[in-house]
Amino acid sequence: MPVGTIARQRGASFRHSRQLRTPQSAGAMQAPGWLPAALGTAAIMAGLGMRRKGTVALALTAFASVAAIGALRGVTPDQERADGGGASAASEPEVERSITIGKTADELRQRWLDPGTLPQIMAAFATVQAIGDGRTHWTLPGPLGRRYEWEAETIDDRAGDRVGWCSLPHAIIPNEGWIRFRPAPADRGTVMSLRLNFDPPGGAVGDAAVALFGTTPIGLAADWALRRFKSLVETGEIPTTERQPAARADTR
Amino acid sequence: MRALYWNGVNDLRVGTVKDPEIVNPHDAILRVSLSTTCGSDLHFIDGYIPTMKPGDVIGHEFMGVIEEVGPEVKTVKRGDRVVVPSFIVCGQCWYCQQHLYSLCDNTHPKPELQAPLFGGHATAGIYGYTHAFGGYAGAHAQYVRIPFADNDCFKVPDGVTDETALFLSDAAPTGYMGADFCDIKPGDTVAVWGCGGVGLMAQQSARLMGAERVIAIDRFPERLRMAREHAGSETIDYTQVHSVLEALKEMTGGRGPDSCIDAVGMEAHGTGAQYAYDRVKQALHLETDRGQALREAVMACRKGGTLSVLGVYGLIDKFPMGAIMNKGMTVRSAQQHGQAYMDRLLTHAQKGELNPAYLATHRFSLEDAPRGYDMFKHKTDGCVRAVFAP
Repeated sequence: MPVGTIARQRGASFRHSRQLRTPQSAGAMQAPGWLPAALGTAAIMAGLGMRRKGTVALALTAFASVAAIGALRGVTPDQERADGGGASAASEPEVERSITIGKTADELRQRWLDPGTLPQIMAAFATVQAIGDGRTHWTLPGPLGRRYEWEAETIDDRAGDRVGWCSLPHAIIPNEGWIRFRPAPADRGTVMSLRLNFDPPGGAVGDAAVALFGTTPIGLAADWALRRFKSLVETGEIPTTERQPAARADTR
Repeated sequence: MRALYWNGVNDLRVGTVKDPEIVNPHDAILRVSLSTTCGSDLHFIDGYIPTMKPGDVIGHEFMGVIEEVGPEVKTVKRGDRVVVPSFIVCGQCWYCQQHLYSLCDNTHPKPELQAPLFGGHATAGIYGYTHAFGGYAGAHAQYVRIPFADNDCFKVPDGVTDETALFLSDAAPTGYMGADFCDIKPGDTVAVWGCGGVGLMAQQSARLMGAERVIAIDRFPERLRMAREHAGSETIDYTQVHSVLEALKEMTGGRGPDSCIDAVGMEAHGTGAQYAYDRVKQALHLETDRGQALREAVMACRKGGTLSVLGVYGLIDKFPMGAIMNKGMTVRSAQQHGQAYMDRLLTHAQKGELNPAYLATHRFSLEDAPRGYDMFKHKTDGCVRAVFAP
């Protein structure tokens, strides 16, 4: 996809975007283990989808997997009716989160596009591989030994000062997003914003997942990715408690 | 290796766990020489603050010898005898550049557990101090992993003993920072609530910074004696006076102390109705803290004075904000920015101006650490700090 096409091709969905309802309270954020729960949800949704549609390729970025339930929960039937019942616009939640990083926009863009970066940021829950042509291949381990795989496409939109991505066609949960850079005041570096945008499936699949897991904060997923990226670019590493001593099986 | 771990509320155990390893490139592995108890450990041992997991290795005040370094460690090397501040800091972020080290942006692996409590912000990570503070393995162990070793390990000069260096990890920098917050001027009187390790260090530091008088408030005779003998403080036993406020006012010619340092925190003891109120609310989990020392410090302080809060708090109510506002007070507080003070502290220690080794009233092998914590908690036999040698 040529540079600069993201806004045109996906313009319709951006145009319909509304202020995201973020019903998630601080209480939801305090629940430890929200990420695994969200991933489990994504895996189950994927499993349901696969049973229904056979071996349809699951196009789902890690962001989407975390955020999908928040997305589903962000839309009430009333709101869908008010929006004319058009599933695409009504069920399209977005979230935007920002972080300030002590580096220039060029440094951040370069690091984000580095094939080694996404695998490090996502290492805790997905395996990401750069497969050329600006595409990434994602593998998410699911329940009962299942593996879910998909591909996403990166779009470096230099004119719009953004780096975007979108799921490839036939995605069960079409999704897209971008990061954007703006200068921070004085010596504070660069404000990097991350926007996530979803087209959740709704219907039986979504309802089942919601019934199983409830609300998961989409904004937290964005915060989490941004913080890991900031640490990586500012210090060269991501803080971790992996492989540390503790008197239990999972020592993290 | 052997390590002390939290197995549940009021249940500490020593067991065998895997050795730590280099995980990130700026890591080092420290062979622990000495570690010590801290009053803030009692908050999770007693179950007042959550996010501990059974099996967590605890301990955040320690020193030792570098055993191994990661590929990106430049200045620290195997064999160095070092002290390590309790907060893990990256040295690169904006907060580190402002020397606000305990606010480091890049060392908390689990900010989602903490940020909701603090308006979406997260502190730096700490060793062995709950998952809300990062969930890092602690230092009551034979070995501990030190992230960002070049920023966080400080070589101990010859002539400074292990026992002195040990307390430069937390008690001394916390107390020193508390005195620094007071911006002490000639003629100033500084009142310090609490004569534990941090309170005694705050008193000595206030002296070093030129305070004319230091007044210490506690109830344990042996601690008040230490305040007099080691910090040159005047003392108030709050169980022996009608009113601490009146006593302080009389001692300061009716002005009140220029600065008041709270080195007590959420498990303050006190007397009277206010204390009973706090005990009941804390027991019912309606507030996490008993705040008598903090409230008293606010009320005692002179007009335009400084309140320096070193005690660790969660939620407190009946906080006298009106007194702070109407008396035009300055409130300063932080978890310790130890890296900002370490060079000064090591120099003071080398010159013999600051000798915190006397805090080490009781010494145990690591195997006896649960007993050490029990004595520390109950202040048995005048225990100020229990020190463990693996």
